[in-house]
Amino acid sequence: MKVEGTLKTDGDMLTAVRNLLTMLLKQRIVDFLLVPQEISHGRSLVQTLVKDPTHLDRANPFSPVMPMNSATIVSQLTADKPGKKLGVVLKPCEIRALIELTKLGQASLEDLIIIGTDCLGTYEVEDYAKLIEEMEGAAEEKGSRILAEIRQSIANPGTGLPISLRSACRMCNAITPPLADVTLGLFGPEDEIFISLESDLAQKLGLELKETRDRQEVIAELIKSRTAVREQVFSEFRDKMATPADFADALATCTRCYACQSACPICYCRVCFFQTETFAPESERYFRWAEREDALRMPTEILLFHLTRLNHIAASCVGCGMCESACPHDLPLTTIFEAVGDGVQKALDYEPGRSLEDEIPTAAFKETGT
Amino acid sequence: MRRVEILKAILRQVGIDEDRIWLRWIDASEGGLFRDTVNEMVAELRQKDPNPMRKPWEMWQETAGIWRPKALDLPPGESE
Repeated sequence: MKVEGTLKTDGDMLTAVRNLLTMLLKQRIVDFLLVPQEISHGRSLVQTLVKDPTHLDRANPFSPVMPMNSATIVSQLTADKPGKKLGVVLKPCEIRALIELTKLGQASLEDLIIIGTDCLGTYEVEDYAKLIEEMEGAAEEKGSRILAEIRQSIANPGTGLPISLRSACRMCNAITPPLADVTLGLFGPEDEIFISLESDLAQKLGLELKETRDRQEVIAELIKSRTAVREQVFSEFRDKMATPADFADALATCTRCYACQSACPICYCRVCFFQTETFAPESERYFRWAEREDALRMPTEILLFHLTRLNHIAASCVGCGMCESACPHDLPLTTIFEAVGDGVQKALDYEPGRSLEDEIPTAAFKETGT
Repeated sequence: MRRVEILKAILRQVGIDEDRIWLRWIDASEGGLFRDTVNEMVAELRQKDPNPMRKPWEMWQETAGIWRPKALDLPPGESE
């Protein structure tokens, strides 16, 4: 049975959560813990695989940056079922991607404890680094101060940090973690951390939970405003995409560098079809095409590349926006993949990352009776 | 089947005519059906406007290359 309540913070949220993570390792509930930790004097955060709990002193499960979707790391750590008890601290879109990867046979949830966090949204790595650099005060306190400011901005719309959330986060309305064994929540009263977990785990950790105050109203309000942005973005996209030239317009400066593909948690093929000989033919073929067309855009097959990626991942796209964050040309990839993905998912009545039971439409065989 | 269904849904959303893609199951012994299906497809495609991607270089030259949804251009703090 799950119990919920609030963690005692004594005014220091990060220390309270670090203590909880330390207990998970000390009590041998997990052997290893994957958790975001501050590096570069707090200017950035990266996922860290921790064995020794004394190395959790810079852990920040509510990391406001997301250099990559950590489902990819969990896939690396679990696909071959190593038989180790692993705790992973993940944001909602990372859990959704992990669920998709599990269904695709690329990750395993065996011996895994998912510690899911509410997501307040994330910033581009370089924006966040600049913000931290410009902040005065002790480096080790900046993470907590930023977190407190972000929480305040949710209660007071229009306020907040002087940098913008990543595009994906601005239109994300899936802000609480699905299927987490332990949920750590920041929505709700600013002096509290919400926690939900199995009662026996709470007992093993010796947690004394205080009664929780209602956080549903805050969550509902944020979902409402994010959904409004999302619908507006989708509507602009639909209005824009009337002809193939409009699609080309959105991808005009693409150099097919594969950064989007490398950053995508759902794109898991070890050798991409686009990096095989089919798309790197002998030079003679390019000259022949240029002769036929008079002029040939190089590199070739930009639209085909993105259409193929869409065809491969649209059903499972969780909207984490890593593709756009990785793009050196700032292409609106989040909008394209989210809007098209949303259309495909609705057509197939499938929501990626919702549950382990829903079969991925492209992996399921169904007789149609015709 | 699902892949084609998905592809058509994608093409529809990016301004490409989904009816340019056909999928038919035809057995090796159904030569007549294969011939008729190809003829039918060619006839239908000919009725359509010319393929807009036939001259891709001209299409790329005409792009503005700066499109992004305005809904994402709100100042910091305004999206929540």
